[in-house]
Amino acid sequence: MVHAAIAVALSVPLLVIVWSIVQPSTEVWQELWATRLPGMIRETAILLIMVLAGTLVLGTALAWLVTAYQFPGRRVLGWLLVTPLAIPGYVLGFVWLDALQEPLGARGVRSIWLCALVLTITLYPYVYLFARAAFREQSQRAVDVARSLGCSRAMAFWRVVLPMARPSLAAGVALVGMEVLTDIGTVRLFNVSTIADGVLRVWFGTGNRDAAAEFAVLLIAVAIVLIATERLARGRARFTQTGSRAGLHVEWLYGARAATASAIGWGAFTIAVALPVSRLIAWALEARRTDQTSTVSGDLGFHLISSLQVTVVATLACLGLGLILVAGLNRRRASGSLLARLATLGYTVPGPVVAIGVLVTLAAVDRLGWLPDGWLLVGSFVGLIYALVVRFLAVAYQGMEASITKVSPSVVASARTLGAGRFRVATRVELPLAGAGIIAASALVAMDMLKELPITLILRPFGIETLPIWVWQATSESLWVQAAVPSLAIVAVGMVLVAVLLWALERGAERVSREGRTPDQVLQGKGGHDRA
Amino acid sequence: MTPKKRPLILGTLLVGTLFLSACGPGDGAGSDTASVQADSVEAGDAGMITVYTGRHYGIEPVFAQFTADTGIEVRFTTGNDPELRERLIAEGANTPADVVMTADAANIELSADAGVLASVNSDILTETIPEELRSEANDWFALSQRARVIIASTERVENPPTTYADVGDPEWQGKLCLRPSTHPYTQSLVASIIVAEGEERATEIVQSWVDNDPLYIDSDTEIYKAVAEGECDVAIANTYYLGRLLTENPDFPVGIVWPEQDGRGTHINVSTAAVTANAPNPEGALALIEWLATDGQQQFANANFEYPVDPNVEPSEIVASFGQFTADLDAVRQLGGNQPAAVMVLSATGYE
Amino acid sequence: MKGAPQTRFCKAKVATTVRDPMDITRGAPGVALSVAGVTRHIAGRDVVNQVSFDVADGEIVVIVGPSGCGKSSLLRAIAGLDPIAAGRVVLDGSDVTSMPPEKRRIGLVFQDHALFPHRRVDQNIAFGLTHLDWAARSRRVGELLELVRLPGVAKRYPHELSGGEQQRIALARALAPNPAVVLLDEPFAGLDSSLRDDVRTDVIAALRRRNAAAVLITHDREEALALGDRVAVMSNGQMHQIDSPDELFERPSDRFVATFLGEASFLPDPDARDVVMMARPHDLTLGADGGYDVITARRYLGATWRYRVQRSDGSEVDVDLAGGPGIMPLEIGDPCTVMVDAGHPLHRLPA
Repeated sequence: MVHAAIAVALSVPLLVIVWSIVQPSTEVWQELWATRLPGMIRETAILLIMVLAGTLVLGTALAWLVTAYQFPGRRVLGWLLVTPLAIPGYVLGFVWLDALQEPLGARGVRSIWLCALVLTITLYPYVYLFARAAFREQSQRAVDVARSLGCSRAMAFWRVVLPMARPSLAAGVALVGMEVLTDIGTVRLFNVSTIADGVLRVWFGTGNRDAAAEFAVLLIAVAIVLIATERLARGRARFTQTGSRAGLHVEWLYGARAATASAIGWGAFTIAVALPVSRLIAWALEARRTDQTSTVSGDLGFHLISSLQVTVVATLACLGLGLILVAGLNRRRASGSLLARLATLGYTVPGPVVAIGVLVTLAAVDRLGWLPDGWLLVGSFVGLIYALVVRFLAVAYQGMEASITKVSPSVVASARTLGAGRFRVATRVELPLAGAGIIAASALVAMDMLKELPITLILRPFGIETLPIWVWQATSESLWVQAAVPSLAIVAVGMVLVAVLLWALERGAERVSREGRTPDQVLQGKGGHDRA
Repeated sequence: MTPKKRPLILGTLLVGTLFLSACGPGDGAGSDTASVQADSVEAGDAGMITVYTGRHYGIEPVFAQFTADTGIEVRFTTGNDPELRERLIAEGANTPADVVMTADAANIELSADAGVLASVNSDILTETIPEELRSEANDWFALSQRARVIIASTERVENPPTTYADVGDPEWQGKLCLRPSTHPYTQSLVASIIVAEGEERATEIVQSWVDNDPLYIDSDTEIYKAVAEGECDVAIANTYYLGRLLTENPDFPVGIVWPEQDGRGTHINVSTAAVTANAPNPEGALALIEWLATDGQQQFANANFEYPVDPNVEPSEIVASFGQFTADLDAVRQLGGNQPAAVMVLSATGYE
Repeated sequence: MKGAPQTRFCKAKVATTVRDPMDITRGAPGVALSVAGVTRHIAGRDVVNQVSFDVADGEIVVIVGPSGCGKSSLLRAIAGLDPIAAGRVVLDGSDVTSMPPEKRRIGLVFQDHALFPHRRVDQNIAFGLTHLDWAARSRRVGELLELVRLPGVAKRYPHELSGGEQQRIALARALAPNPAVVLLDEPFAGLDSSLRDDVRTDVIAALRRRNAAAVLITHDREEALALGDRVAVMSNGQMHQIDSPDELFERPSDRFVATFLGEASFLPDPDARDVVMMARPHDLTLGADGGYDVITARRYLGATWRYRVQRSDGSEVDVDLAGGPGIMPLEIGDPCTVMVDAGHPLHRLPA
């Protein structure tokens, strides 16, 4: 029943928001429908389609490149291609905006196409990771059979490898979709008005918080519909082969072909990471030189510590709560799973909306006066962590659920018969086996915490000023140069997290390949078929 | 890590988490008691005030100077005006905030409407600040003026428009840069037009702007740069950004045109401050606002190249070089009330 | 492949009639597969070393050998999945040595069936039939389902079938495009032993019905002897002998083949020093009235008792004696005499 309590506690802020739908603000909707709403829906649709397609193509192609072929530098490239995750979209956005201002002009640079490109670059690693996991776990035999039946290598890829990777790809794409739907920082830079942006527009423009909340509900509905569609389309088909030895045949490339492969991979990395980071470094050096930090408070150490405090604690909280929720899953009863879904709904809602929901909830609790003298939840560290967990628990939970539930039940059963109680089984059996997967999920959620802005902006306590806050203070005044130092700090910490993520995946692959399954499958359940 | 150590490590992690959460970071003022809300012991203390401010550019040195002058510590949190307002409203009687400051008039009006501001009786404020620049109920006070003017390229434009309506002249078709409708500056500008000329006329004017196919840029700095680089010839922006730009580059090729000098005067917005209704330290709050209106007035305004509200205080050199102008002071107090109408006008005309 | 119809998906597998005038290994009519001197290197080692054999139309050849003997590699080389260092592969009269697998007319059946899990059974079977129109395709699928005696499962998914059914569908899929030869890589190894017999029977029957030529590899010698028209024994990349099962069993060409296919004892040939005589356990008997040989172990096999006997010269032989009610088995430690009781001359092998 702890699980129920957790699920309820985490979903209250969202219910607060959803509650407003009971009394819809029809005039606001009518006015919006007549003016901006169709445009917003169209732009959201266009952006979504472009980014989903872009990340799918880019992520899958790059994953295939580093999985099916061997060429010099492949291993390193395989890791480096994950690193765009460390760069927040709102940072990449202004770097590109500034860089392309010259060639494209101010009008040309503020386009939905460029916005889609920037989002594709920051988000493709999700698809890349999932696709790579899927390809690694496929059996070469299916490809061999396909070839014996008349398919060339290329055709075998399209007719067999890709379709069998579908659930993984869908999971990765679902994640990307969530990020696109709830993005606010990047779209604003490019004058793109999506539904998420519409939420804020309604709220700030009309001062009508309820109408804004209704808009947010629209967003949630869209997210649910998209995911449900994919699940339905899948039908009865399965996508993994039972019992086959995993591993696709790797083709060694030489000469010109190897050079081409390298060029593609390194090219992608350069555009996605190397160029923006070098631009940031140039700006940071310039800021140092001209000492422009006086107008925007910039104490790197202080902000870094704030960021680390928030990231570490929030990640641990997600870890702990996620584990409890997973422990509550019972194969026979659906209640555990339903509760978990409820608890993780926050991922489909934009940051500011979650923040307001949490604000209202915590303020109500404060008014009840249960807490000892002078203690308040609003504006407290705990309150901030609570909001972050509401928003991002989904990321951690899905990963952990996927890896823990894949621990063979017979292993768990043997442990129980040997006299281990639930806790011992969890810590000594399930955790070690699923350990690498849990670490991977933690690294991913930590990255979200690190880059988070809107919730931190609204709910942070005194004494916490994270790196993204610093970036915001500079970029809200268009002071790109001053945003460089904190941006680089975010990227640096993000890179460390990416390294942890990759280490966990590789380590788990080694250990668990002995047991016949890879914890790359960790990521498989993420964001995809078990959501909503 | 041997298996025996694992539960121990986990346990430590869990306890560590709880520990870290409970004693959230203090406010740096040296207090390290395990309190969820940092230093609630000190909030209300005469030596400290808490400020929520949406106007964050260059504010820290100003507060530092205040502390140096009066000995009162200031701790502040920055954010977006509407979000800060929501927080204030949600916190209700429990709010730690003594002062709320905004970057525009409409936002503070909305706060006043929400009942989270307190009326103050202060001779200093009533004497220093002109009547039009403080609310009738004396629950908020402007501390600096921000003029939103017409700017034009000094190199390419011979006869820039002199009224906001003229900006919609077909001459400027395709050569216009404007800030999107999401920003309060734009909304307030339109609100001021509604105040001066009525909703219908305002709609016409805004429509004429839209018909000029403007480039919407959500940053005044970028608007200035766009004009300088030839992306547009004419735009509407705040004067203080030019102050910043001229400091970097005295030859910046963009000039200011004071609109409506023959009529109502240039539209101005204001940075404001107010004492919150549930301030733990209302005396300290008032002290800050009074200081900002008097001793700190110059520093406050000059830090951001804005105009002081006290007519007796001189603006900074660069600002003075923009010239003298007549300001539309009457509209200031009505900007908040007309904001919803302004938003409707903007969306009805298809202004992005 | 000039002139071949361009289909939307894989190229149609039209029989290639590239006839090399210099091709002296063009197979005789009736030869489905001809392998000549095939050699494959991996990391300096010859995993397949100069292997040559033929498979006639409709013939099932079983290649058997211990793990690592190169039989899988040989199969993959025939399929074209792995490159070969030397030799030729001729399918149905055409030299396919340099062709990629998709151009060779082969069928593949793996141990784990490798059915495409995301497609239905009928879609799996039809996978290689893209050159046919829809109607012809359905017809062929129907025929094949009949062939493997699974007419009702067309619309199911692979995971909804049992292991044996899956393997039969895999065979149907391989047979669909009329390959010159079907290659089966340990097709029954993954099945429960209780099912294995039935599935084996069904699969072989299907192959026979189709008169398909097949190469089947296995490590199970009983399976090999039971299923093959001819059986080949491999070890360390080399093919020792290929012959009918009874020839192989009764007249093996060397000790390895002899011991691989069954228990065998080797008695020195009194006439020649470099020759031994092979005796299967049923070729020997024991005189139990004492002697210089000692029983060191025994095993009850149901129909027989198998005794291991240490002979006076130190060598060990296995001897089968009939079991059954009323027969008293001999004890370990009992002295006895080993005698030949074969009814035919013992086969001679090089030592």
